[in-house]
Amino acid sequence: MPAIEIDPLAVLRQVFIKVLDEQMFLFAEDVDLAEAPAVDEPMSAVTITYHGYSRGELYLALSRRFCRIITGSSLGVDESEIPASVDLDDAARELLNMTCGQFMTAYFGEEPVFDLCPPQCRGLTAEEFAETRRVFNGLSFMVDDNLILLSYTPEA
Amino acid sequence: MAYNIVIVDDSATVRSVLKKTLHLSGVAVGVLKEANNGREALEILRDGWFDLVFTDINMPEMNGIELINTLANDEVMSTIPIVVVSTDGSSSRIEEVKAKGVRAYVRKPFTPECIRDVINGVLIGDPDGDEGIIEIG
Repeated sequence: MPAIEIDPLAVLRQVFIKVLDEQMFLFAEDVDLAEAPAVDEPMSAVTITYHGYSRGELYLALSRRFCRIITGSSLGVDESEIPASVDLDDAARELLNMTCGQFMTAYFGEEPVFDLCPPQCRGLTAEEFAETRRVFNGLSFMVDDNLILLSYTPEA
Repeated sequence: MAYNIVIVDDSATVRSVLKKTLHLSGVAVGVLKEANNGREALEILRDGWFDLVFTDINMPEMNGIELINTLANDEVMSTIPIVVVSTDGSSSRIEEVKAKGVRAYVRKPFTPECIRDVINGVLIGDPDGDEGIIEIG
């Protein structure tokens, strides 16, 4: 743990905004989840676990539409030009992978060593997302009218 | 002179971004191969001559460290410059790969300018590696 008490969510927020900006040229705005618009489209959940100096997990929920947006941004093409063979989950996994890697050093420092497990992505049913949203205790953003949820759960 | 390059990363998105960045960098690229992990990279590297390897660290089947170790222990392939492109930013990891002869370490997310500078430094600037590892990000 860092010597000084630092809010990990504050660090995570800064890291995520930076990664979105630098890698995908997108700007995230904080949003109060209670006031965020309802979501009525397919959603995905991405998780990445880390171990080593300490253990924990990062979680990211985003729409399938946003997966397409970040894929296009990463590849430098319009969404309509993304080849059909491209795995739209890949950009989402890599977004969380980069966020996690940057978060590790930003929060824990450059000395501790961590191993990151490959990120996992799966679809969320409407009911699953509604329940996730209801109990969510993390960060929420709007990016190009897309609701994004991001959380950090250290292992006790 | 055109350079033959291998990109090793389990993310197709990252491989595509790197490919595009390489072409935008102005460096003459000859053969450009992609691998999903270290094991696939070794199959490619044993089948032809390559001038540079970009590799991630965290990959399934064979990770970047294992790939670097295998190349270091091969009489011929140990001469191929390696650039690590990784989310890992620990100083220990950077020192670990530096000790194994890695020429540059780029942290994700990276900009096209970062990759261009690395290529210039590794392939064109100082082929003997006297400047030590180039760290970006």
